[in-house]
Amino acid sequence: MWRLLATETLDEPTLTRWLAHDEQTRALAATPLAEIDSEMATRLFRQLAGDESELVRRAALNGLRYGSATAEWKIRLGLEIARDLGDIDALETVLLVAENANFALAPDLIAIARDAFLTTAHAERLRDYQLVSALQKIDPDQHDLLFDWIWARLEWLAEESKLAWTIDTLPDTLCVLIREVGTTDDLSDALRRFSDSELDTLADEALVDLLQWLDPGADALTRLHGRQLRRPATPPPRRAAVAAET
Amino acid sequence: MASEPELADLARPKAPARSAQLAEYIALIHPADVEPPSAHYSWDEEQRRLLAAATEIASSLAADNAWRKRLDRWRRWAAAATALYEKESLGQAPARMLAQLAELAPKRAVEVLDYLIETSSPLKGRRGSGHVAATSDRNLG
Repeated sequence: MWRLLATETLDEPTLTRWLAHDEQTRALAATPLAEIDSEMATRLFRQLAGDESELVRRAALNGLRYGSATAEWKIRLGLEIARDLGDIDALETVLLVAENANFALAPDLIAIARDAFLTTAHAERLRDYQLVSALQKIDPDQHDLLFDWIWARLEWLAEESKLAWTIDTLPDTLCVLIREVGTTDDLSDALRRFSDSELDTLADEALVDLLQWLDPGADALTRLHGRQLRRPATPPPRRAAVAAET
Repeated sequence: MASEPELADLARPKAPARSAQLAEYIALIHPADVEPPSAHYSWDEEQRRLLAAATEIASSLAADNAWRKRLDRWRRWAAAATALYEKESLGQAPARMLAQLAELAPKRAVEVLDYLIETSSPLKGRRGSGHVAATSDRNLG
């Protein structure tokens, strides 16, 4: 289809009729349209990038991924698609396309990329490499966005069933990064969350990892261990309530 | 003096000659490898052979006045093959052939695509193979 579009063999009425047919056809057209510079192709590509079908939006993203020409509006569309999909692989792809084209992201594009990154905190399965790679591309300091993402994930994990074994908690790949950029304020924040916790959610498993990664020898952490050891062996309130009911 | 037959030739009896339609089915629709792996040519050579087969079919489709009948026949083959092999979509061969058709006879390619879309034929491609069709026709030159 790319060749037919590039040589203008395919006219707009025919293409418009095809696009009205089904999502598979729109997906087929979305990828090659990304590569054509004509007014018609640009207009139709923008339309397909906002299509109601995820299949079509992913096909538009493929057009950005494999296309040889990029532009600010294409990067913006790609970031918006990645944000709406909550897909770290899609986000990392768009950032990579921008990087390969030596395209510096303007502040408004960085803001969309940050939102897209934070939406991935709610994904069941995580892709470690893409997560770290996207983080490095969006936030060179790697601290604020990383910890915004971690707190968002902990809050999401607290609501998920611990029996859901298909859910990743915090990827091990973050260990080195957290050790490197984590601060005493982050440690205090993690300790406060841990102290407030009932220790029976996936978020608590993630918090244990986080505390160890931040600073396993921290005095505050040692004091917390001491308090835990001295505490009488009573079940947390939620477990006690369940036990009383049964 | 006649050369000695190779061991592989002794182990495998010669297959009967294929009809044109069977060759077309194998090249375009059949979802699995028919030929055994060969050490006689490289991956590049294999790609050249696939492209040559696609070009030959595209060329004959461009010259065929009864091309709609032919597309209908391919669609029946595709339905039977995907059901038999429990595949959701065809391989890359139809996309490769359509790319070659767009190169050889662009107007016929538009007519063919129009017919495939209007008849919801699986030959027009699905998301996976569609992606290949969309990008490979550029790469194929």
